[in-house]
Amino acid sequence: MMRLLALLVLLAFGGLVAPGHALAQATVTRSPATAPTLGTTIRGTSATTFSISTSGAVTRTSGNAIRLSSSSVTTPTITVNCGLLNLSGLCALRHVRVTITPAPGSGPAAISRLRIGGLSGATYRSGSAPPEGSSLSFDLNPIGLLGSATFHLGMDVVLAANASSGTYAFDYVVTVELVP
Amino acid sequence: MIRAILVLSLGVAGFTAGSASAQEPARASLTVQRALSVVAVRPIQLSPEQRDATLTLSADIRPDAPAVIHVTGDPGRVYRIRVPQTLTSPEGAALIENLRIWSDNTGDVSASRASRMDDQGRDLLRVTGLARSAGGVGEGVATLPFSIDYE
Repeated sequence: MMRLLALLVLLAFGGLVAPGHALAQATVTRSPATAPTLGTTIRGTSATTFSISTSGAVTRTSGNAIRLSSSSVTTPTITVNCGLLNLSGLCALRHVRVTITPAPGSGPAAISRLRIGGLSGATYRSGSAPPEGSSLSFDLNPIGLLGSATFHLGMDVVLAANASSGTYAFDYVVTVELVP
Repeated sequence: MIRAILVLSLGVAGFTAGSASAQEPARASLTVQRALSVVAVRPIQLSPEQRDATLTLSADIRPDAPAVIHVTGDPGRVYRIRVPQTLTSPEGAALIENLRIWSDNTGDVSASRASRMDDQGRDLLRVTGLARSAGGVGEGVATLPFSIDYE
């Protein structure tokens, strides 16, 4: 028991001096690399909004562009964890703030709204999922040493009227940080 | 003592907590294309007497005129033409056979059934064939199913 405690102490102090580990840091990953992929869409004469639920169902909520497929898409799964025994900043014991923002782009497609759902491995600090919005910021309760929190991301995508033909990517950024 | 060590270790570690953040850029995508359109500018006219329509351009609709079909889509895109080689009546008798298709952009596409949109995303097709007088076709009117799709 004493050895275990000593090891914990060493790990904690080791985190103080080890280069690159001076600051606590949660990590975030997403899967798959490109998601959601709406596929081929016939351009419309008016701006068109496709709404993608967190489960992947796609609904056209405005405009007259046509998505050729009626099937669901794969929504991105975001995973947040603290890594194994990341004690240097008590990452596993602290609240984690997640911020999701659309990246500014120049193409005809853009994200106008974000929504999250299907949270597992953690709970919302506020007790419920944040409301939809053009960007999202919410806190998770501590996720522990060995666990990870995952959730699905849905969004509204606006395709400009009379968009030129081609394949377009529209980006977003997921940021996690420990709540001070 | 043990508790003290544990509290000390956690306390020191907590003291070093920083505000570092991790970012993950992510990407979504979609592909935009123009809708394909097919407009029958002029219907096919096959004379049972002559049986074989000739390719001519005229202000009048000749009794042996080919169908003229205007198609639009993405500029430069290859598209495939779907039309039956033989048009048959509900009874199974051939009404029009040996259909031939000419494209303004590509030429004779009767065999390949594929053409390409021009720089403006347009093409003009002329479709003709051989009329079968057998089976009591006479002056009847038939509808030729015609569709296109991007290759």
